[in-house]
Order: sequence, then C-alpha cells, then structure tokens
Amino acid sequence: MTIPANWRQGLRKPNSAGIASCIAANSGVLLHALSAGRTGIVRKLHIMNRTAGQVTVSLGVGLLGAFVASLPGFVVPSGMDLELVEADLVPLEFTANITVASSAAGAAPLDVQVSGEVEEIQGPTG
Amino acid sequence: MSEYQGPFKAGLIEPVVEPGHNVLLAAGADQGYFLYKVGYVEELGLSHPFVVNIGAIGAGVTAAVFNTTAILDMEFGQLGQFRAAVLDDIHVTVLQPQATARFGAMNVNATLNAFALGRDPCGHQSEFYIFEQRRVFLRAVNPTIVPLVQARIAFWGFKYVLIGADGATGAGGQLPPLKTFANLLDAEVWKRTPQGENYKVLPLGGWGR
Repeated sequence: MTIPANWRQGLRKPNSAGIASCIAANSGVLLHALSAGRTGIVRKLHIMNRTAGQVTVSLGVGLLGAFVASLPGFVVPSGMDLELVEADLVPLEFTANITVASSAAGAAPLDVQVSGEVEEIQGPTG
Repeated sequence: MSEYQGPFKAGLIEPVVEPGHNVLLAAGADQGYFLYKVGYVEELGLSHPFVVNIGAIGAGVTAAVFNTTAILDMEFGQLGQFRAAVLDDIHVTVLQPQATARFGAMNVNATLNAFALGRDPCGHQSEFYIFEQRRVFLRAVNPTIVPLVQARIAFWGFKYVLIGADGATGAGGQLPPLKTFANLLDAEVWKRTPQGENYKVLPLGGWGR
C-alpha cells in the first residue's frame, strides 16, 4: 500500500484576481485572496511588463501604500514577460492575502500584468 | 497486507461483500438492523451520469441542501456502495438521512473536499451505502472568497441485488429482510446460535449527531 508522501499537499488554483494590473509605482495590488483560514504558496508566476521601462516586480502583502515585499523582486525589461515555475520560486507560505507591486507606474494598457498559481493549504476553517 | 474486507477499506474500491454472503444493514438503533443475503453484484463506474453538479455557489455561501435522489437512489431490494471525489473547491457535509450528518465525532462532522484527493486518492474515507431510497443529501459550502460557477462531486462504486423475504411491501415499501434485529447485540447472539450465519455490518446512517 502506498502512503501519501506529502500530507501538506494543498489545492492548486489560479490566483483569485485573474490579471493583477499594476498601474501605480510601489503600490500593492491584490494577486490572490486566501480562502478563510488557509495559507498559500505561490507555485507559478507570469509577469508581463507593458511599460516603457524596466521594472522590478515584487510579491508581498498589503494593498496600495501599505505594500511590504515578502520576497526579492524580479526584474522585467520593457516589453518582455517573465514566467516562473515552482522550481524558481521560494516556497514562502503566505498567511495573508498575496499582493504584487511594480517599481514604476504605467497606466493601462501600458501597465504591468501579473497572474499566477497558488497552492492553498488546509486551515481550521475553509 | 491486511485481508480486511469491509467498509472504508483502503485501496482501489472493491465489492465490500461477495454474492452468497450476508449483510446487516445498520440503519440505527431507532430503526433496526436488517439482514439480507447478497445475490448479485454490478459495478457503477465513474462516468458523467454519476457526477452531480450542485451549481453555482457564491463566495462563502452554504448552498441549499442537495438531494441525490436522481443519481444515487437504488431500486427496490438493491444496495449501493459509493465513494466520492469532490472536483471543485467546496466542502460537503454528507447527510443520511437528511437531518443527520455522517462522518461525525462528538462535536464536529468531517466533510468531503478536494484536499482529500491528495491524501486519499482512492477515496476510501468517503465510502457510504444507500439501501433503496434511504438516500443521501449533500450540504456544500464554498469556503473561498470567489464565487464558484459549478460545484461537482463524482461518485463510483457497486450495486448489490439483495435476497430478502419474498416481495416488496407494496409501492414505496422495501424488500422485507430475512431477519430484523433491534440492536447489534441481538444480531451477535443470533449469529452464535446453531442456525445463525455470519454477516458484514454496513452503515446506512441514521445515527450520529
């Protein structure tokens, strides 16, 4: 009989916000709202820089000016996209809604777009 | 390797009892324990007719209790053995009968949910039984902060054609059992008599919180 290897296996799902659009510099935008009681680990990330200049995009917590980065930023040149998979990402377990911020402003459609996959871990509720 | 063959056996689903053997359907102390002999087994494979869609559920909303009658009800004199896999991010409380939640400790009830697929890929912890129209109801919750457009649960298992006393007890009745016991002790005492036979106890709900 096989014994499950990972008892912390969670549910992998697209980030709740769909396309998170960063239009103001260093301002937190919701990437994924955790279900009540759960924690989450970002397993995949897709960033598209549609601004005129190079940007640094960070994952963190907090909205708008309350944004605090939780991981080092990712540098994305203008007009380029960056795709990261599980092996590239530090498995930080977020306990609050996951937000994202870009270092430079760029009004849509010249914004920075971010989507990803989050693995939610079971909590005492939800 | 355990030779245990009974409810909630780990591994790919197998018939819980062989033709020619007895089952004691445990409907709860208030309703009795019914003895039947199994005549025949047929598979009920996981396929689209056995997938229910409770429908859209708003963020954090508990959906109206869902009646599985159209999918899981069994014919007269038949018993269903089912396992379940939750396909969307919902938590599902199994009610059997409607007023009584299954899989409960003293104060809380376990739910079927999508997390179980990682820890229990064979679904053995979700096993339940339906005798004729002693059906199961489902109470689903969307625990997330996003609305779900569908809430699906897949079922698979086996059905058993039971041998009981002759004939159904009229329209809407049930196949009369070979024997009825008021409690498990009476059944155990009968089993040890010279004319007694062995049996497998299968839970039908009707007890719990």
